[in-house]
Amino acid sequence: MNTEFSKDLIASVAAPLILSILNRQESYGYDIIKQVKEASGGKLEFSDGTLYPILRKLETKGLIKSEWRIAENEKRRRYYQITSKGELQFEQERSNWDFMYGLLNQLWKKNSIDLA
Amino acid sequence: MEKEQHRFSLETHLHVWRNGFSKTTLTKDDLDELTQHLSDHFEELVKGGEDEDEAWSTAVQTIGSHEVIHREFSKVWYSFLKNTVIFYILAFAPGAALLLLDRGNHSNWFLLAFGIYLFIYRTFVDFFRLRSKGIISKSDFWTLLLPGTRNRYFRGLYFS
Repeated sequence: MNTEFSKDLIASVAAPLILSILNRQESYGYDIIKQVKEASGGKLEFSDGTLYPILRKLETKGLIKSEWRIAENEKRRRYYQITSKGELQFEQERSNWDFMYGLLNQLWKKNSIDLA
Repeated sequence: MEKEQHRFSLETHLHVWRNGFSKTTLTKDDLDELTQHLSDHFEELVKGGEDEDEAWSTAVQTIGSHEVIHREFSKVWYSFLKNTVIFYILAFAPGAALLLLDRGNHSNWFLLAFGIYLFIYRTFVDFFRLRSKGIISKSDFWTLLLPGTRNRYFRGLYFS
């Protein structure tokens, strides 16, 4: 995990990040981590092994489902897909994070005006 | 004497790393998935030009320590109920033990204990089994107390 981000922040964004990736297309653990790393320009990294318990939690909540398949390179992989319940959760998360982002932006702008 | 050449064996390293979880509650699927992840990362680093020993060391470091992984998995503690054999033991062994202890006397204590087993204990075990398989949500717990509800989940409860 990148030390610039607090453990709490990483924990709160982990589920929305995973749902966002799976909302685009199905994926497997290693690929999910690579996508997060690439999208954040390498600034945000999970401790790889802790991704899987989060996937397990999302699965027990019925937000994602998994299936073992043989990949094109003959490797046995567990693929994750978002469920319809997960899609609804994803929309909810997106709306919540948009709101939080807007709220913080508004407060930051206000602070910079006050300072000026 | 000719110096013995060092040969890196990914299989051996993966096997040793995996054995580090032998005393944890991680399932075979969890271990297969983590091992595959480690293998993928190792191969990518080697393709990128890293020396095998170095690549292994980086991959192991990045996936995290056994302690951290175990601790995070233990937060999903009821996931072990996904295992059908464990579920059968937990679901039926206490009931069978009570029947054996009572030996057909049907004493008041037996009826009370069997009632608790049937209506409270089994409700919790069934609930966590269904939760571990992602079949029901937390708010569905109370529906399991309604007559006939569990029949709906028969396949999810008793089959892999």
